[in-house]
Amino acid sequence: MSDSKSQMHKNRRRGIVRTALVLAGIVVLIYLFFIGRAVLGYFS
Amino acid sequence: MSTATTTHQDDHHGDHPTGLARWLFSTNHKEIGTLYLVFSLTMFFVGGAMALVIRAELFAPGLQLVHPEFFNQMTTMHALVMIFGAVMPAFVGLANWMVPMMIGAPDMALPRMNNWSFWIMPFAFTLLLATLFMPTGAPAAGWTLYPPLSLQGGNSLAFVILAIHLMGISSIMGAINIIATILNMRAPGMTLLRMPLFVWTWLITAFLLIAVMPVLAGAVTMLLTDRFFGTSFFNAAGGGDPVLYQHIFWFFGHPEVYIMILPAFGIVSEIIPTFSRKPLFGYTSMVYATASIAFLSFIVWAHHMFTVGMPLGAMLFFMYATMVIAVPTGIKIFNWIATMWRGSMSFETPMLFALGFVVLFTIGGLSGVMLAIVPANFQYHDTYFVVAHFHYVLVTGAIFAIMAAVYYWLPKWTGHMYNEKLGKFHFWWSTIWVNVLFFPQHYLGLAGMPRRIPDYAVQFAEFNLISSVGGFMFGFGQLLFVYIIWQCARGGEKATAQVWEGARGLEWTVPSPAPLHTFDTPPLVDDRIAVHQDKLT
Repeated sequence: MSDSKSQMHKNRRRGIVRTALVLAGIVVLIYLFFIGRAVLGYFS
Repeated sequence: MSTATTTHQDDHHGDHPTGLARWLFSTNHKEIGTLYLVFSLTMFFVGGAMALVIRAELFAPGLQLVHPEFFNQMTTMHALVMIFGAVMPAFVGLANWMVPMMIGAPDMALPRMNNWSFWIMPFAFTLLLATLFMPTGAPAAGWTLYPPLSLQGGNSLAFVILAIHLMGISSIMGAINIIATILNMRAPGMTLLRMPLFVWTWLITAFLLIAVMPVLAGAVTMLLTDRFFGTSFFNAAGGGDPVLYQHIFWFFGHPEVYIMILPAFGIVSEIIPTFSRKPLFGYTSMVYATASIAFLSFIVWAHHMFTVGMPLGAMLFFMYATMVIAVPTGIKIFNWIATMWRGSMSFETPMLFALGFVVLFTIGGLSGVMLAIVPANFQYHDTYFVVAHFHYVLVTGAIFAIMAAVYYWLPKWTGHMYNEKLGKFHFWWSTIWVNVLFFPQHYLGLAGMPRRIPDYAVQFAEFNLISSVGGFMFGFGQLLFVYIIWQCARGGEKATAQVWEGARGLEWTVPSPAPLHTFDTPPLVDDRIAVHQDKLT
């Protein structure tokens, strides 16, 4: 595999991991927004 | 198109386990797609059997076959199985199979997570279906699990909530995978506005899934703590509010409706140009219309609950916002018709199902606009009119599109042509009986028959009888679908790479059946491949 292809592959992998982590973060934030607000409201 | 392998990223290619291990440990998008589709078909029949129990009980007035409590369990489980077990996994299966091939990617971006996404599903549905055999039976409060009713049932609610969490995790992982694939794995030259419509609709659907599945998880977690840990989120006696649940549920529930229909729009947008032998009319407007529908889906949730009582301003807002959805949807219908206009049309089975979709989904859309009108909604709410409406949208909409997609891509998957005569017979049989099944339900609803009841007043007898006959004929007719797929998988006339004369796009450049690994070397995409562009002929 040529260097440019290998670099493209690395960039692609980095992009995939970054996309997946950002999306997973959004999921967690939305869940916490709903649950967290509810739980705080319950204990306040 | 080159499918030459390269070195280090493909070192797993030589490893092809057979038998059960092949399916258990597969990270290949095509095999996982097949698993999803087989799972979905199985659940379609499980949910269908429940529907037949419902229709058998409603065949005549009076209680005759099942206990009312079991009837309510059937309505609840039928919906949960069909939505989360049949329709959603079918679209995920189609995405798994087709999205990488359509964008020129070698596989999904996260293949191991893809395997996990699928294999969570059988466990989730084992949990869900196991509740039927528990002492208190399955939940019977409807798939919406509204409190306080859902909190008054047995302990099986905990199993259902765990199952919903598992399905949600599976959906979220699948959505992350699809977005990561589309944003990072496109072949050189496959710009966003060159992507096939099916890929676009799935990209937008995946964002909807990311946004709303955690909301459902939050709602059912609160339900769980209300039922088992003494909280009062939705318990009025403890200072909570059951209407809050409805707001949270439908904030998930309405985008969920579009999760089940946007990929269907994508499928129809692939099939109609192929069999009209013309590029899709208004490609860019289709993309914007899809995005608009997705956006609007977040601001219309309260139209499911007008009758709970809300300020006039809120009712007006949700009514008008709902009606606005008819605009982008109308754009789509217009574009499909304009694509066919003066096209060299032929009517193979996928095209028939796609046309059936356009006509019958529009009926579901129109009854949706009727339901959006607040004063009318007060009359229609919780009647069979609603049941008729969403079955037109989901059966003749989503499921017809799934069937169209299966007929369209089956030769690519199996390498054989299916039996066209049987396929056409399947279409006409399904179309006739599905209308006999659901159209009379409009009249039942307008006459005031409530949904989710095992018995009814005698004035509803005739239409219920007709509807039940339609249900049984439609249901048993689907065995033919299984036979056609089975026959096609076993052999038959060899399919060419292009399969359909008017088919364009990367997936038609690989041989039929598609080899296990495609596009290891990315193809170069130019305007000749991106046939959806308006300017192309």
